[in-house]
Amino acid sequence: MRRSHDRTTTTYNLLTKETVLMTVLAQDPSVVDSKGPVRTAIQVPASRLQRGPRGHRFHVVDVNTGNGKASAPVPLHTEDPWTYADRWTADHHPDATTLNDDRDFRAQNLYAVAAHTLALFEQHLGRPIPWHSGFPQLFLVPQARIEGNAFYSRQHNAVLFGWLPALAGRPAPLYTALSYDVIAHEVSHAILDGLRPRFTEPGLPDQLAFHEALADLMAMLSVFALEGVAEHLLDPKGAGHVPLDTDAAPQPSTDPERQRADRLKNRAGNLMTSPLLRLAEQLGIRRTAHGQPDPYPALRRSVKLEANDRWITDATFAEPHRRAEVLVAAFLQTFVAIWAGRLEPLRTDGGGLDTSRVAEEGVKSARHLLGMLLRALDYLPPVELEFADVIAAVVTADQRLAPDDEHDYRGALRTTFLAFGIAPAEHRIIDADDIAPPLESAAQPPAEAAYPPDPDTTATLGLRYEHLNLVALRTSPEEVYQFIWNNAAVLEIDVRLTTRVERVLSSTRVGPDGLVVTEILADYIQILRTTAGNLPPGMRAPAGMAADTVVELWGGGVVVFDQFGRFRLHQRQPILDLDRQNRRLQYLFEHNVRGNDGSFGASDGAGDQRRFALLHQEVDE
Amino acid sequence: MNPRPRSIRLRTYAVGFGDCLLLTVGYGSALPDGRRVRHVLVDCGSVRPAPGGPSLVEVATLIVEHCEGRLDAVVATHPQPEHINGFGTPEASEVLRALRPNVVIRPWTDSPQLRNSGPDEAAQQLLPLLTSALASRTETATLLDDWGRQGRAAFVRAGDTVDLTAELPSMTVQVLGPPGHDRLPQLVRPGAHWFALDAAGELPSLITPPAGPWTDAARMLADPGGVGAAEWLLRTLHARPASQQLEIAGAFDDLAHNTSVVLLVTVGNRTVLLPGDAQAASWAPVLDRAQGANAVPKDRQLARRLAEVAVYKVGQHGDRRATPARLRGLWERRIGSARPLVSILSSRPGRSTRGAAPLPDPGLVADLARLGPVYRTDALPDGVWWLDVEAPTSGRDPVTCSPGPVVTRSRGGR
Repeated sequence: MRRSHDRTTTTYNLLTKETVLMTVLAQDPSVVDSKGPVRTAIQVPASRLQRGPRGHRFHVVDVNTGNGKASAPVPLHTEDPWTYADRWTADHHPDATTLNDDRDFRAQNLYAVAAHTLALFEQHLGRPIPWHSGFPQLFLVPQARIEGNAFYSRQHNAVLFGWLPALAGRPAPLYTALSYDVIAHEVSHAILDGLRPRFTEPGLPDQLAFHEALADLMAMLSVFALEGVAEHLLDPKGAGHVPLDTDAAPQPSTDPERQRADRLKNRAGNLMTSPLLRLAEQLGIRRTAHGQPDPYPALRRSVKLEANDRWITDATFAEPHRRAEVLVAAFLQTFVAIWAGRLEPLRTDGGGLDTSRVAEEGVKSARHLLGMLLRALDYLPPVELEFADVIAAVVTADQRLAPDDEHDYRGALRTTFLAFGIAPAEHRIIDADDIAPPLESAAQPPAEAAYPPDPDTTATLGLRYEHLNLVALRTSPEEVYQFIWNNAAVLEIDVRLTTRVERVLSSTRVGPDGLVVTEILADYIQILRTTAGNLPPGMRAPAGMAADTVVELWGGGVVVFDQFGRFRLHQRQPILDLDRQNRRLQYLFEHNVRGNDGSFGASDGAGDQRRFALLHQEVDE
Repeated sequence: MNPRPRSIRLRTYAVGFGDCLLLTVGYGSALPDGRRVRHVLVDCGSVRPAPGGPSLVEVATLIVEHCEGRLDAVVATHPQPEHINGFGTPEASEVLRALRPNVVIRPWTDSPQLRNSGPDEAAQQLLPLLTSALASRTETATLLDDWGRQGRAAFVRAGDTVDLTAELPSMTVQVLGPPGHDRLPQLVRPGAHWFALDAAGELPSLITPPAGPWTDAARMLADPGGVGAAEWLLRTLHARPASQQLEIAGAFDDLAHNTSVVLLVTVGNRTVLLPGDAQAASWAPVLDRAQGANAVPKDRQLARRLAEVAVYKVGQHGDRRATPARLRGLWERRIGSARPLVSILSSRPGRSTRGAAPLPDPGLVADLARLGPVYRTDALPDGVWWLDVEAPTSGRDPVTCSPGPVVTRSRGGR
């Protein structure tokens, strides 16, 4: 009711609403129906709107970075900035064919999709997410560059969108700021950079691959979950039913359980190769039709990637883009497994399953899985991320927030990741609640460098809270460091090494079943700087690396407290993990990733500029 | 019976940022014209001479001297000034003019006829973009045209074999690049929208920044009075530009780079790889064949010949993109072997056209140094104007390198 009421109302009072519906393009101008580009309406957090448009988290600035020419800020309100009127609903603006050329609409589209995407992250993490710059707003520049692509630029605190003027052979200009998936993808990079700024430091390729995989998954699943998209993908001709051919195939087994397992597997295969592949191809083909490189080759390949662990030894998967395909594939295969599971009560009536029901379950599955992934972001180690940490964080966060797992989503996720050879790194989590118990599939604890133990720490006294100011613990890195200092042995943190608590944040999350969890999250890092000839015991320098080459090792973790300041969880990436550090040094040496001072492993000053650029380059050198 | 080649020598002149190489094949007995050597000049250009190094006229004078007034063939890999302005500037080209090579080898993209007709509709659409983009950023060298008319002009593409039996007996020349019409999409599309805008005359106004700070933009976007929050973005964009001038210039350059003639020259049991400035887009189909990758059947002979290259003229003055990882991978087995790869790097330290990357790329040099010695023109002592790498064309003697003598300025004048 509220929705239909909103869609016919011309003016909203932003003071009395949590969110407002804003009209955007469902995918981009090339997806059309009889009225022109297909529109949809999305929920955007209510915020006083200044001209730009500019809210408290985003600021649209229309300047061409090539010639410095600017266009006036666009107002989305009429007179009162606490009101909003959607000028582009189908009722008020029937002719959708003019939207591509309407600069005001383009500004709304960009602002709305970006704000909706951020709200999705913040909703699942239960707290505001800072931008890397520390500024409250991220700049969105809709016509920044002459190209069919867009990118997040940390140094400008901005997402710079490309456009292509009309020319012979391209009668209308192309604006990437009209593409839902492009906006969601790039804003996701900016969000993750605010959450985990050190994922762009020199390290193993999993970190950058995760950046790309998260952005790809956000782009794909958020488009999929838009109103009407799933139905169209499932049933492009509008027949009203989805044929699942494999349901009609003869059952090789008479065992009901086996039949069920086969049906689930076959349906998941159907859903993967039909609607998901179609969406991945649509997202890519639109850009290539304009002579641009496919921005999502990974998506298409991910959908087709077979679940096995061959990628681990395949050198081509050392490149972050290719590596991202593995993570995307693991999530997409989990997605279709969950989706098929939700369809299990439904049986084909000869013609197939009801389209709207299949789509509804698909959207629910997509939203649920996306929620699981986003809720895990605060549990990821702040440095040196590897895929094993992703599955560990997702499962642990879900266990804390949704103890009952009626549909065994966690099991589906673990099974798929294991099929790709990714076992949760359970051994890295120290869990006071035993919520994350040891898993049979978990990898063995890593061998750590054999420095003699710190003679000045002991674990025999258990966790100690003496001398702590529990109020300060909620906000103070120094107070959290004191907790680590006092409990170094229990937490397995060697504080003889350089250790720094970088951020302390509070979050209040609500699980799918209504469970409210309030937590204090503290990120810390450790740094060990030495030479190749003086590495920690057990570590080996890559062949050919001179003994006097300076190297820097990194580690760190997340320490989680409950709302009363009691320790709950320590997700750690040990700085002295021999296997990881050996692989990291070898990788950096092989790829010649050096710091400004010629060292390996130290921050090289390139920051995001180089690595986000890498993510938008062709794979081959 | 043909005289048998005995030695091969590649002389690399210290032209600074550019390429100029003289390939000389020595024979065991006199050839029909009485000479016992044959000379092929590969490029002659420089845009930033080496400090204390020779000018283009001085290089031209040296070439005339070193080939005793007679060139047998010339290769002009591609029409960028750092490769061919020695054939274009009046003073240097007049010195070279009398050399009158029998054969002039150039990329097919230098031929107006070949550039004007494509085998299919896709090529027909892209060829005008190729032509306009190359025309706006490359040089013309009338001397090359004149020589071609007087002798034989060979406009080549990947897959061709240049018949030099008459000029250089017992030498085979396999053409690996530039790619032909079938690969036009891969060459042109990465910058097609910029090439099209440039051809329509619209590009400059879109990417030419204002002379000073963005005052007008700030006044419009950064209320109040141009000092509001957006001023920070505008100032940062001005100080750390996100504009595409370098990137777009790079796309035009890369297109020209990828039209480079890539030659695999074999004399006896020695193979020299002369890739011009070819980058990944040009190398990709070659390496697909050599590796049997991307559904292309493996060409074992090509793989073997590439793997056995004795001397590699480092592509594009040490830009990493011109020596793809897959190519380096073919040479991995040479590490520590008795026949290491010998790399010749003609460059002058600076920055790539894309701005940020140093040239030569230190990482690439380090990678090549793992495979064998890297001889650099920018490492030559003051007054040394060339370096030679030389080897007999049979047996297992190593390739040797020796710098030229110290040259006094009286030779030629600047």
